[in-house]
Formats: sequence, structure tokens, C-alpha cells
Amino acid sequence: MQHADPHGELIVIEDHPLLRAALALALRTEGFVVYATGETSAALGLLAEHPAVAAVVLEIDFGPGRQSGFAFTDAARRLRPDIGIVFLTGRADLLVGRDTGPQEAHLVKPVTVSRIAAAVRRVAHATLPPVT
Amino acid sequence: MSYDTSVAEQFALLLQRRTRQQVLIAAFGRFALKQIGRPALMQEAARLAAEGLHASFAKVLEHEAATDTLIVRAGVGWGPGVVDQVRFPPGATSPAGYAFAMGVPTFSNDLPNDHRFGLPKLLADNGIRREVNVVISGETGPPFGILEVDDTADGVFSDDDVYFLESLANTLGLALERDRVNADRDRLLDERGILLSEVHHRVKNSLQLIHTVLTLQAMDAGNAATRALLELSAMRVLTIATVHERLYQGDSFESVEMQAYIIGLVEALRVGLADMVPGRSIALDADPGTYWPPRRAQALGLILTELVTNALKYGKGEVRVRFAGTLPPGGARLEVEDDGTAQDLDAARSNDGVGLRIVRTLLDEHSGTLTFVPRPAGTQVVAVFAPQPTVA
Repeated sequence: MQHADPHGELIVIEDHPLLRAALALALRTEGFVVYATGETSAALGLLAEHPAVAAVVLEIDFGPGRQSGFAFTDAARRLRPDIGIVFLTGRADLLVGRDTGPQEAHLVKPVTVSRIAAAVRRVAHATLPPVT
Repeated sequence: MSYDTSVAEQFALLLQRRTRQQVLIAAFGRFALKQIGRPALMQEAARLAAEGLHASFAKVLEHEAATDTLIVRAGVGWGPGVVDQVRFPPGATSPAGYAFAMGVPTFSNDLPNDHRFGLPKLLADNGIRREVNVVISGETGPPFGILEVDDTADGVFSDDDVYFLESLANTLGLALERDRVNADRDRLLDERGILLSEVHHRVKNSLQLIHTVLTLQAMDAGNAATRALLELSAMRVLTIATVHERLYQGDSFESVEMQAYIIGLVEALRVGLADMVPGRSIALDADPGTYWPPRRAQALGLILTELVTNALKYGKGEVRVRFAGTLPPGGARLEVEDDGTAQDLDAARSNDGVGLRIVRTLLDEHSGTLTFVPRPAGTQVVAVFAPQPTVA
């Protein structure tokens, strides 16, 4: 799918199926091309497959025994050092003491869709040259 | 003990031994209070047991439920490869197994010829001829295991030696029980913490879902009035989330210091409502020193959120929030005012019926009242919480 905005592609990783669908729909309405998955391993595949993806919106805590959002972020950055990360989590306690930096944003559920969209645009644009 | 010792001398020796044993028990009691961990506790018990009975060998055996065996956890006099390795089954194959199975102390001064129980290899290899075994138990729960003293030399263990060893074992049992209770409590607290954060996580996922769906419906709405209503509902979900979030931070179910709570809540509202109403500010003046139970704090949080939302939506200028505790303790007065006109206030009262109904219902539950105060310039809404006799 071709898109005018080169920063407009993103991946959503959310293990709650209904929430995943709602977020994908809402972010599409905001003008993004959205690939949604409930698995971090599948997300890594999507990241390799779609070089235009500029940001990942993800939960941190996917339950015991599952790869955490932090571990996924490390793997994603090895694959794509420029990737923007937006943590959208129900676990504010996990974000305590973690630096954001220009490539990362921290949001605690629930937040407005417009704030998620703004965070995506910020972290995506932080790492790519301006569009001319 | 030689036969030419006079009775008086024998008695003096015996007395000395009993006195020494009393001192050792007292010393172990103080040691057990230090909470230094199970291995050190068991090792000290074994050392004092051997010393008190003038014996060369002692050990602490723990009953392991999974394998139903007694395993050596601490000892003195034994060679390597014994602690945490040698096991005895409960039963007649060893003095310790016999004492544990029967639940009574045993002592024998001629082990090789004692036919109540077998002589295990460990004892035979070390030339053990005499033993005392007592059960280690706490006040509740199954027994922990066995405290055993052994010796090779000729001599006699007496009933008094058994009493000494039982005192030592009882002290050890109580200390081990305290550790067991502490470990259980820590585990329960850990589980409770994990469970709580999981519950909060699910609540937040649900709130995010509801908010997102309402937002999508608002975008889809055919007319402006419906859209405004859906947006208001979506925003209400976020403000309810804020009230909950503020309360459960730190997982405290105890009294809430209301000034700190309100400061945090208003700060969250400033951030959360910034998108909705640009250019409007919220000023706050909250008195310190009021402590409320979480349910009451939550009610005030919801009321404050509704009134501030209304003021932002229908009023004008700066929104001023004032909270003050009233006497007798437990009462409070919450004022929310802005620079809107009487018409603005009427609009708020007629348009936002649901919000104000929520406020009135919450106040009813806390014997409170809601008053709209006309003022020369601006409008003021006052919520009064009646004093509560049972406030912590």
C-alpha cells in the first residue's frame, strides 16, 4: 500500500485482541498504515518485511513467560537502529527509571488516540531525515 | 565415671552439668532471636547439643515432605559428605527415624544391642554406641525433624540429658516456625502484589478499549450533538481512570492524605484535559492534614473531576478549586468556581444531567450536599461532606 507520508507505517503489538483491533482502527483513522499483532516474534517478522515501518506501538507486559516489550525493543533496535518506540502500557510501574530519549515515548493506558498519534509522529520523525 | 568418686563429688559434677545446660539453652534462645537464617540456626543447635551432653557428635535432621525422608542439615563430628546428603527414612531402621515416626524422644546407652531400631551405616562407621534423639516441632504444623546427639565413649545419657535436648529442640522449633511463617507471609505478599498489578493492568486495558471505541464512534457520529456527547463520555472514561490511578498508586488501602491526593489528581486533570480545553487553567488551594479512607477519597475525586470538567466545558476563565477539612474531623468542603455567568451555570445544570446526577448520588452516600452559589462575578459550586464518625 503506497502512502504519501513515509513515516506513516507502524506496528501495534497488543495481546488484548479487542483492544488491538480498536487501536489499529483508530490509528488508521489518524492516517497511519497499521500492522497489528499480539506476538512480539511476529512483530519482528513484520519489521523485517516492511522497511517503511517507522515506529512500533507496544505494551510492555505480555504476561509471565512471554518476551517483554523491553526485550522486544532491544531486538528491534538491533534489526533497525532507527526505529521509533511508543510504549502504551497498563504497567506504569515498569516505566519508572527508564529514560525516553528522542526515539522513545512512554504512555500509560488509558490515553487519547490523538496522544498516541502525536507520540508516534514524534519518535518516527526523530530518527528520519525531514521530508522534502 | 569411676567408682571411687564419692557421692558428693558425683552430685557436684551432675549439678555443674545441669547448670551448664541451662546456660546453653539461654544462650541459644538469644541466638535464635537474631534471625540469622536456617543453616546457621541449625548448626548452632547441633554445636550446643554436643557441648551440653559432652558428646562428640550431633546433628539436625530435617523432614522433607516431598521425599518423606529425614535429611542431615547440620552437624558436628561427622566427616565430609554428610550434611545435605545423608538421609534416613522414618521408621525403625535408625534411632532418628524411630523417634520421628513415634513422635517421642529416644535414648540408648548401648546402641549395638538395642533391638528397637537398626544401626545405620553412618553411625556404625563412626563407632557410635550411645544416642539421644528428640523431635523438633513448632506450635503448629507438622514436626520439622530431629535433633540427635551421639557418642562413642562409654558413659550414660540420662533423662535429664533428654530434657535438656528437648528444651533446645523446642527453641529451635519455634525459631524455624517463625522463619516458616515469615517465608509464607513474604510469598503471600509477593503473590498479592503480582495479582494486584495484573488486575490493574486488565482494568487499564478495558478503559483504553472503551475510550478508543467511544472515540471511534464520535468520529463516525452523524451530527455534532451526538459527537459532543460521545466525546464527553470518552473523556469521562479517562477522568475516572485518573481517579483510580491516583488512589491505587503504592497499593495502599489505608487512609489517604487528601491534600497530596488532590494535588496529584488536579495535576493529572491539567494534563488530561489540556487537549479538550486549550487556554483554560486550574488553580488549586487544598488544606493539608485530612486523612480519608480510600472509598471516601474516591468519591471526592470523582466529584471534583465532574465539577472541574463542567466548569471547563460550560464556564469561563480560570477554574479555582478549594478543599478544606471541616470540624468535627471527617467533614470537608469542596468549592469549584470560575468566571462564568449565571446562564453558563444554568447551561451546565441542564446539559450535563448525568454528570451532576453522579455527583449528587455520590454525595448522598456520604451525607453530603451540593449547592450552586450565585456570585457577583462568576459562579461557584460547593460540595459539602458531612463529618464521618468512623474516619480512621
